[in-house]
Amino acid sequence: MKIRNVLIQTVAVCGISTAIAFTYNGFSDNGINPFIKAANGEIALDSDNGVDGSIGVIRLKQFRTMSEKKSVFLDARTESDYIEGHIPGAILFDYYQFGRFADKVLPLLDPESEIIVYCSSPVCDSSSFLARELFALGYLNVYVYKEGFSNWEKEGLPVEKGLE
Amino acid sequence: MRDKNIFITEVSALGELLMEPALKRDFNRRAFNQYLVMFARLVLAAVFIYAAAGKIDKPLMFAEQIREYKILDLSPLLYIIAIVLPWIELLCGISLITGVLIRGASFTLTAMNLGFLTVIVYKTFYEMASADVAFFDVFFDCGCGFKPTHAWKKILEDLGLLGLSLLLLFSREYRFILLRLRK
Repeated sequence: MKIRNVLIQTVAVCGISTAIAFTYNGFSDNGINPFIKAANGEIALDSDNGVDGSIGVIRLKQFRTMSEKKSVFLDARTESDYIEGHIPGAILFDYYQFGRFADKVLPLLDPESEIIVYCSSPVCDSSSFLARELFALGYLNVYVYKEGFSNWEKEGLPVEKGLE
Repeated sequence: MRDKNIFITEVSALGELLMEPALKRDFNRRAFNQYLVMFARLVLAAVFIYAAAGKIDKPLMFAEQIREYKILDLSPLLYIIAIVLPWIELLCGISLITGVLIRGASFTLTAMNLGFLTVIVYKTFYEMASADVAFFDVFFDCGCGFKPTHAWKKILEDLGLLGLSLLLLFSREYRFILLRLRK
């Protein structure tokens, strides 16, 4: 075994993989642009309130006070997470299968109503991504519940299980 | 007549040499090694192709899982790894099955397994310290493409995979190679 050959082969394997990966990423619907997104998954979330042209980040206290308004929860996690437990009344919208869920869920949403999107914890991305996607589609009252479902559980709030 | 005798003794000496237990043992050992190498190739390929298939079209999900480790949170690098790593896993798996560039693939797999092992051990101790749980109770989704499991099982599994990839890397020869690009 010559070390030089091993290294050449390693570079070849990794190089070919990288080339295919970026080509595929460019054509895939689920592809991402690694250079455009800001760190921490805080995309386009530039204010605490949904002022024109931005998506609001919302905290638990805030949406408790506005609960008398018509608001809808969207669960951006996967189906198995949703079955294990979700906020009562929340609609499943797995961000990683955007196309599939967009056809199912978007007709149920009223563009005027407040939409609160959440995922598992403060470090997860999918709620922010989903909110941005919905905002682009014209749902302007989108909020991200950034603390996520773990916070909801920690507060001892009611949890619903299973698919509705 | 005398010459013929010499010839016969030589032939029988050769025969004895062929039957030499040490040689025979060496032959058996090499055959056994080849079975072991084939076993390692198939197991590693199956594991890595399966793992890659689960995340190859979900770079965002994978990025999120990497972020859960709280080690790497550098925007472009995190996403680049999320895009490229599943493809490296897939191609290494294919390489192990076909035998093309197999030495490079085994080196890559060894390096990756070492890396995975390191971050999983790190995360395990992190969880132990932050959530105050015992070692055998640490339970999380490692983002490897499989269901969440106990960390100690994952560590054992990774040690096994690391052993197999080291075995492949240091194997003297490979059989069943579709195409030999380099010796």
